[in-house]
Amino acid sequence: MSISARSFNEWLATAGLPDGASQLSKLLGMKRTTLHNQRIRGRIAVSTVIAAARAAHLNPLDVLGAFEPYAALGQERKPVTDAELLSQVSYVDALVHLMSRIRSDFALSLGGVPMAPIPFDDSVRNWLDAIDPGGIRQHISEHGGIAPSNLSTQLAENRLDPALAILASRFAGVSSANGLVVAGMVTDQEADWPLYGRENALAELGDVELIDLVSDRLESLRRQTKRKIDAENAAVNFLETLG
Amino acid sequence: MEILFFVVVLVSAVLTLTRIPGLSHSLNQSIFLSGLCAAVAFGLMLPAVYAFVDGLFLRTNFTDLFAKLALLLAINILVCEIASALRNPRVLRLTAGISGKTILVLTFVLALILFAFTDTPEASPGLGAYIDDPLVLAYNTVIVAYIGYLGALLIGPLLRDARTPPQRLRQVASALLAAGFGLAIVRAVLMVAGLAIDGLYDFGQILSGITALLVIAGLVSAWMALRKYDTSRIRQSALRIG
Repeated sequence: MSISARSFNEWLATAGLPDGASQLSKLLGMKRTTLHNQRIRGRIAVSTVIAAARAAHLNPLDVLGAFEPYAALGQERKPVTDAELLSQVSYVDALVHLMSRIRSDFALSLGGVPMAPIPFDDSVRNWLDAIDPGGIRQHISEHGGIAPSNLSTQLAENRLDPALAILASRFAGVSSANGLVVAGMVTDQEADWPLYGRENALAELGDVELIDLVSDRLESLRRQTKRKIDAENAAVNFLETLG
Repeated sequence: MEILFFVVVLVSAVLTLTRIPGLSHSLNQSIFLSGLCAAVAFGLMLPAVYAFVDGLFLRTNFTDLFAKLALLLAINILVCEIASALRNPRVLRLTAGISGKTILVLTFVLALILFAFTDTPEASPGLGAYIDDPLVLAYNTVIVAYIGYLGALLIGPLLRDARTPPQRLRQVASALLAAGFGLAIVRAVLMVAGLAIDGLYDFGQILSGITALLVIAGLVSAWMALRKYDTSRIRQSALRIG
């Protein structure tokens, strides 16, 4: 859901940002024509508002919360849950942690490996599964006005419209900002996620829970890899037969 | 139309030549054969060539039968290759399998029988001068309907492939092939449904020429795609992320 250009222009004036398309687009690091088209249509994309907030050295969530459709983001933010933090652990992170837990020499050599930045493949799907109290996809489809197949497409592309992310958060009773974090629209710092939150959540997992997490991630990796290899084999066969 | 057919012959011949280097490694044999048959089929339809070749036979317009046989072979071989490229067992069965070969043979036998009963004293490529004769029309319709049938088999799988990322040039190849076979269906429907419209034959022939050019453009795109997307690179571990 986009934001009205009129409200955006009013906010620009209050934030002390230039109003001219050339200056503003340069400041936001986006194409002048893209910004111009959004203004002509009267609808400003959420990503533009976020870029403008960052340019004004303001928290994007606070700025988004000032606009009507995203008022929920401006309200008091709940702390991120452990389940959400663990959902943002990639299979590489989980494997590194498992190996480090198994042998101390591995822990020494892998200790400097940073965790995968958010978003990574399937970070949105993992988050949605982690917060799902049951029937979350159906709820999003029914109340967000999106067909289940289109929702699946968004998840497969590792994205979720901000309005749908907020809808999902409300349904699950978690902070409205977290969906925007896992989709890569805002950073975990901007959403006040704790520093080393993911590392600490991993460290607090019991051995069996850690193995379960690795197992889940590997199962998902297997599915993705199989799909990728099938597509690649089909492409190679096509090219070698007709090319 | 003559110019269009000449262009088709030219590009078919050039396409066929590009496949020669692969022949020694048993690559592209079928595409080479298909291109050769297409070049022969459209080449025979050029009036000057047609008149010369037809002079060699006792029966007038016997050349047209050869041209149509070459065309049927070209398209059948090509469709089998595309079905194999798309790994579509249903299309393969209905083109390269026993049922597919039976349909091909029956089509040609039917065309042969209809041709035998036609009376065309003057040489005319595609028997265009006699298209008002119901037997000649039926003879041409059989061939066009068979090509339309092959087009109908392929268009769905090709459109699906054209929407499958990531190799853009491969998607273009599938889209061009789908457009070509789509036109072949249009041509067949026009021929079967619009029997009485004047000038439809000439329009249909133009559609055939455009169909051939679209299909050839699709094959050229596939040829370029193979060189652009190094398949050994495609085959590296799917797990590598950095």
